[in-house]
Amino acid sequence: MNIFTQLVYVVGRVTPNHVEMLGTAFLVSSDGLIATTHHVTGSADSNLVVLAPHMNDINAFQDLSDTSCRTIPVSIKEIDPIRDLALLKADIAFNGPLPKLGSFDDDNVGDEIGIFGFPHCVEGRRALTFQKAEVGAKVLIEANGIKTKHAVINIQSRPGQSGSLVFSPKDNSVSGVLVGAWAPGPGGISLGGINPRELHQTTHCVSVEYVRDML
Amino acid sequence: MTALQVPNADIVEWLAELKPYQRNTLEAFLKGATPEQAAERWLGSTGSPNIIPFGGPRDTKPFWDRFKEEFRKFVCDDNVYVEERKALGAQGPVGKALLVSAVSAAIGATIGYSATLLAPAVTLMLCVVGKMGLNAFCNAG
Repeated sequence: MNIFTQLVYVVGRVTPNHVEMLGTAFLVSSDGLIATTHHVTGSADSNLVVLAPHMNDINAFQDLSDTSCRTIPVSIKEIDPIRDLALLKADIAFNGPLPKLGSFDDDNVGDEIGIFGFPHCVEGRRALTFQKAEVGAKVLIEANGIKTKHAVINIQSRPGQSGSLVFSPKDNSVSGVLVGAWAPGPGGISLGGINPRELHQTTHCVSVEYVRDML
Repeated sequence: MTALQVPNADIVEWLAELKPYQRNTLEAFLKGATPEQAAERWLGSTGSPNIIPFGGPRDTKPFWDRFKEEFRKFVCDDNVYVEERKALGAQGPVGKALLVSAVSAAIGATIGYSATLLAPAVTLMLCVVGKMGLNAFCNAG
């Protein structure tokens, strides 16, 4: 498990006063290619960074009052706007084995998956968090006439988790990238900044095979 | 200034300059859309509208019109992108890949978007210019 402390990052944008945390990303190659969603990065790579790992023991207590960080500049190398994916490049050299990039093809409904990400990082909280869930359904999502493989995972997710690494312990591979929650159509209300329509256990993850196509 | 040289090539040849993930999507778009419509679809997408994103800047600025305006400036207006066009002209007739890369980088720097996102749309628009001819495209308004 500790390896994921070195593979999963916060994506941020440097502003004059601080680093605005935007979401999660994870390393997919030993020479510094990093996967996340397009909506996390947006379409501009100016001042875009990832935060260097702040821990190497996943069981260590993460000090939420520690707001120091080391930023690593990244550039956007590829964007697939249809599948909502982005591939970033950082000056990172990782020595060690990386989990292979698989696909939701290899996961069955009911299989357990693990999620590594930074829930609530967009609100200034940096805590690498592991969650377990099951694959609840495998679905095709259409955007602009193109169908994309998603898994619906049975867990509620929150802002900051977009771009999270979805891991299959069955074959030690990455299966997907967390994208968001199902909430079709316009509308919704905000209660203390929370839209109740997002509060359910229908979290969507896009199959990581599309990241492989972008490498 | 020397006019931009845009090859009159088949769309298949233009798409060959792109990565497979880009090419496959554009080929699907082009089954039911003009190249310009396909370019607009590419730039206007951010995944499924039925999924609430959990992160990012939620950038909803109008984008296609700005892109089209800058593209037109690049290929038609001798008074903007002067240095970029001069650099392209100095290299003699340039290949499609270099043309796509140079136009994407120049427009991206102006409107603040990543060149890699723009490249498929630039490819399609250059194909349109090559087919129509530069004068016809620029006079079309």
